[in-house]
Amino acid sequence: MSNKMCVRLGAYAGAFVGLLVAFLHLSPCCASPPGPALSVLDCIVAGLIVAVIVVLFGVAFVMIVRPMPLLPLLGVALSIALIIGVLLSPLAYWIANAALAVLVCGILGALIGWLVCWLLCRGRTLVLEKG
Amino acid sequence: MSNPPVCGAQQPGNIPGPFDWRVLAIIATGAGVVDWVANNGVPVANQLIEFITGDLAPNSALAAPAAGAFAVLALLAYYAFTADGCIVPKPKSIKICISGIVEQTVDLSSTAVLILAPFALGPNGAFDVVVKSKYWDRVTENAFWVFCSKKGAAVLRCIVKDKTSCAARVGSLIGGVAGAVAGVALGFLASLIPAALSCAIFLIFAWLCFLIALIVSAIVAAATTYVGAVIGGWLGVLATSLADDPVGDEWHSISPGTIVTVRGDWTTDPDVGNNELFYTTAIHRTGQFATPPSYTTADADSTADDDCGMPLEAPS
Repeated sequence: MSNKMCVRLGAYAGAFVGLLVAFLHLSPCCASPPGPALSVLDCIVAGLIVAVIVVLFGVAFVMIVRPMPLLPLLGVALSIALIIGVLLSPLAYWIANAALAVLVCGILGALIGWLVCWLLCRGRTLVLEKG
Repeated sequence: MSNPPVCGAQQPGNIPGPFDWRVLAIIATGAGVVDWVANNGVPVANQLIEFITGDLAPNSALAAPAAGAFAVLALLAYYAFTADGCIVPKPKSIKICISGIVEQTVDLSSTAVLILAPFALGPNGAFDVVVKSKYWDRVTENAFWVFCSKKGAAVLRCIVKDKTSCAARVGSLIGGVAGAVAGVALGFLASLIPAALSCAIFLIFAWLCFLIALIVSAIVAAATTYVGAVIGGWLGVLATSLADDPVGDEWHSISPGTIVTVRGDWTTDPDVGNNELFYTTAIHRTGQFATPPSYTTADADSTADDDCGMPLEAPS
């Protein structure tokens, strides 16, 4: 799996988490002043749902255009989704402005994607050297 | 060049791949689209919704489906604006001619891609040529990686273009834009379903209900955009499938052992760092080697003089 693919998966997942979690401010339940603000845990659950859905669509598309072993791809994609969901959704909710949240979380998501792949590829190199 | 090329990595370190600015550009554009839609709506989609529901949709409610549609459009743009000479010219390429023996052929065509993602149609195939020693510099010059045959002879990879891919991408872009407008309207209408089920009854989980409505609207818009893109891509493929394709026809007839003279645009692969012909513009068969693969440079040198000095292509 190339770094570029991780970056794109991360960017897409981050941007959508930014958009949809920031949009929760528009909900009658969660906007201020009408209702209570979401807890950090609620934000994380919302972010995880969005990120997992986005990366699953991404994995499905990758499997169509560039077939590769599914399990490793799925593992990397879900790792990216997990980190993005946990770290970026509270940030997106705090930013509140949807456009700004897309920008910030998209860029951070791309960075997270790159970082996850970099860590995994570094591990693979070590294994090869040992072998 | 007197010494044979060394197979594999040519230089220490990683291939200095170009920074992918497109990801940042797409994110920034996406943020701009969300902001614009939240303030202004989507012109045609707004009127469609008003026509169907008799009511104007709030602009902010269109942002989620617009983002779903934009995500697919960004994907289409990524393929459409790949620097392969379709819309965006190739970054660096020189027209060259080489000769040698075909080591292997690889069929890269995919029915699944043609049907499910025609905008992502890649090259038709590739073949590796064990080049004569006088063409070694074509394999090694500025390369980060050198491919070799099983017997250790330097090979140059030659990529064969799919004649329909460019039209498929342009068709997908047009179809995608049309699908996006319909998708935003459909996405908004789909989001009304969870709302109609009354999110309020979920009390403390009302935010989850609202989130589901947002996700549904984005997915419906993305799916509609995608369907538009696929249909546009198919039409593009259909329009160009009957066109002449001498390189594609010739490529189907070559096999390992074919002695060839090949012309094409010589460039360096940005991912692997090997030199290659991207794309092959002419293939001329000059014979068949007696033994099966693998081949050595001596085998390639033992074949008859190539016809690189002769014009292979009709002047255009």
